[in-house]
Amino acid sequence: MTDLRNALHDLADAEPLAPLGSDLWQRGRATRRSAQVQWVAASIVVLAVVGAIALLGRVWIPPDPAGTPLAPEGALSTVVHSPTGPAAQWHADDGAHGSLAPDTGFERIGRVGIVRSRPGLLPVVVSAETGRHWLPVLPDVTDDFALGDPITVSPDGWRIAYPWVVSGTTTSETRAGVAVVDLRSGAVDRVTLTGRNQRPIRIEELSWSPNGTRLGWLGDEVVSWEDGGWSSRGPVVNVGAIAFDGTPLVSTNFVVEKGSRGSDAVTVDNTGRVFYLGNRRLWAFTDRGEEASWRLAGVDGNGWTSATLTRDGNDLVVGTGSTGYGEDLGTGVVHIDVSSRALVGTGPDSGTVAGRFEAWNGLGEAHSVAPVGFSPQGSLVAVVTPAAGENTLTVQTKNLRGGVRTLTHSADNLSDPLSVATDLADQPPIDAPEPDWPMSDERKVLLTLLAFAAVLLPGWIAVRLWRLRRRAAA
Amino acid sequence: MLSADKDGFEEFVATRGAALQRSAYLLTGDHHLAQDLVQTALMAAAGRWERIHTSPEAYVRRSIFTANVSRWRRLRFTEQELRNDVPAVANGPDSRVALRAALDRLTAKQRAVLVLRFYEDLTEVQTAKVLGVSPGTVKSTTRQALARLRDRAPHLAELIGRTT
Repeated sequence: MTDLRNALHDLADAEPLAPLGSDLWQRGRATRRSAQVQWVAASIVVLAVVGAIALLGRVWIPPDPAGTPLAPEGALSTVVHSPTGPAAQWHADDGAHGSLAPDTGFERIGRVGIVRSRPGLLPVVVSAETGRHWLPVLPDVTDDFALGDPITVSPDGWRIAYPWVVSGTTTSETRAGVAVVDLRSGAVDRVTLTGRNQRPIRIEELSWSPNGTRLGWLGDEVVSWEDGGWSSRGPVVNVGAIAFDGTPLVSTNFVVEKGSRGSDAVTVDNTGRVFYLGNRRLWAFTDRGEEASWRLAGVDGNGWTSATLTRDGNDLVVGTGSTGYGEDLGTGVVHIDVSSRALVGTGPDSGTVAGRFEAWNGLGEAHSVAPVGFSPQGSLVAVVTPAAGENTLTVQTKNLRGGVRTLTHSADNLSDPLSVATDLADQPPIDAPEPDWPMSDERKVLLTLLAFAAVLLPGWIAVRLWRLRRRAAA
Repeated sequence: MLSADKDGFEEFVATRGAALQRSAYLLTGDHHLAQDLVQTALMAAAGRWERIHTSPEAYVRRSIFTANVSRWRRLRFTEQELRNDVPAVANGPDSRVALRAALDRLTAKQRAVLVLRFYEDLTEVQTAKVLGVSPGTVKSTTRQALARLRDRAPHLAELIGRTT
């Protein structure tokens, strides 16, 4: 007997051998290729998951406050988008209670081209330099406005004005007025407005003077305004103008008996003279409180939307349309000569003032035109609202020769009003991309799940491959 | 020197396939298992032939033994227990039959250590490297395997004694 080494060799050599496969090379190469494909596929899946996380997480990263300037000198955006998904339903109250994190820090927004009011919801503010859409929380903004353009941007785009209210348990505890956001400093200044009975005034309309140094307002002294909301309108209309030449802000406040109130509009000139047009009577109030009123002649109807003045302050332009308040005049604007030559007389009934209706090109009867102001080159800037749900809101200009041009349109059929910085209306509009709206709760959950999957996926793939190899080896 | 293409691989299979199969047979005691182990190892070698064609045998041998240890780990609670139920060693006149029966009484790990040490003539360090264990484990496993052979196959004591 040999030793163990020789015995093992004897045993191995004596056994018959099974033939090896003739296609080992092909099978081996195919197996290798299959493994490589698996690894590539797994890598693609991992990269796709990581990419999806990065894409979804993009809005999680605080964006560059300045953004990419598309128009350093400022311009209007061609399209105004509205929030989609859950962000579309974010309320100002949610922001106040901290349940969402919308855009804050007004100085980060910079110069604004367009503001879109969304009653009860966060307004959309569009940067004039980048076209970026912001959803700022305006402190104590009211949510019941239904008339006019309650949130407005100044002609130069550096101020936003809006009605504010802090409701109390009783009407006497309720405070309301106009707030102005300075987008250079981020400061918010407020003017508290009360009527002759010391009850708060509910703002319905705001209108800037041509150079933006005055802000005209129109409101009602309410009968009751408590936590549950305002209950009815007061017996008079209040109008006034806020001056931006000092701190704190101060406002004039004039009273007009309502009478048979129909539609009305307000605006102010650069000196602080307030014009109020109610039905077919025009009132004017100076800083010193002098009052005069004239009967409007030359037009048959009203249906006022909003009012503005030419840059020289001599032509009062009032929009008309289907407001549901008065006798429809048609869709267009009415020009009223308010130069010192035309407005003669003082006192509550100073005669007549002439109005001239000018139709807006190509609009049907169901539309309405709301003048916002005049561009530096003298074109009238107006927001054209279509019949409900029919078409998109547009911002149009009409030059001195009557040519109409569309600057901006909304990306939806909502009738939420727009306000634009009229100083920018002569600039070529910028075409900004659709915004990434802030993160919703659902998006956060999805992102978390994807991150979880990204962590588990490599492990799962490794185990899978290991089992495949073990099975192949077996 | 083998070429890095298909011809080199087929030359390697033609020249070393039989030896690898014999080694695998000693590991498993089963022709079909040995054939599977060798073919699987050769397929893996074909997949990365460009990188290993200069010394493919070490790679293939390691693949065979690693696969066998893995198989043993999977089956030790089933197949191994059944093998322990095998009745007494066949004490036939043919020493090869006796040795094969004795090897069947060992665990796969003990068997692998014996094959590597006494059939492949590897050192303890080389054996440890192939099996992925420490040299100390190889040493103790060798001792346990030989002791078990003496215990289960007393008629091979002379052969085992000369080995130790």
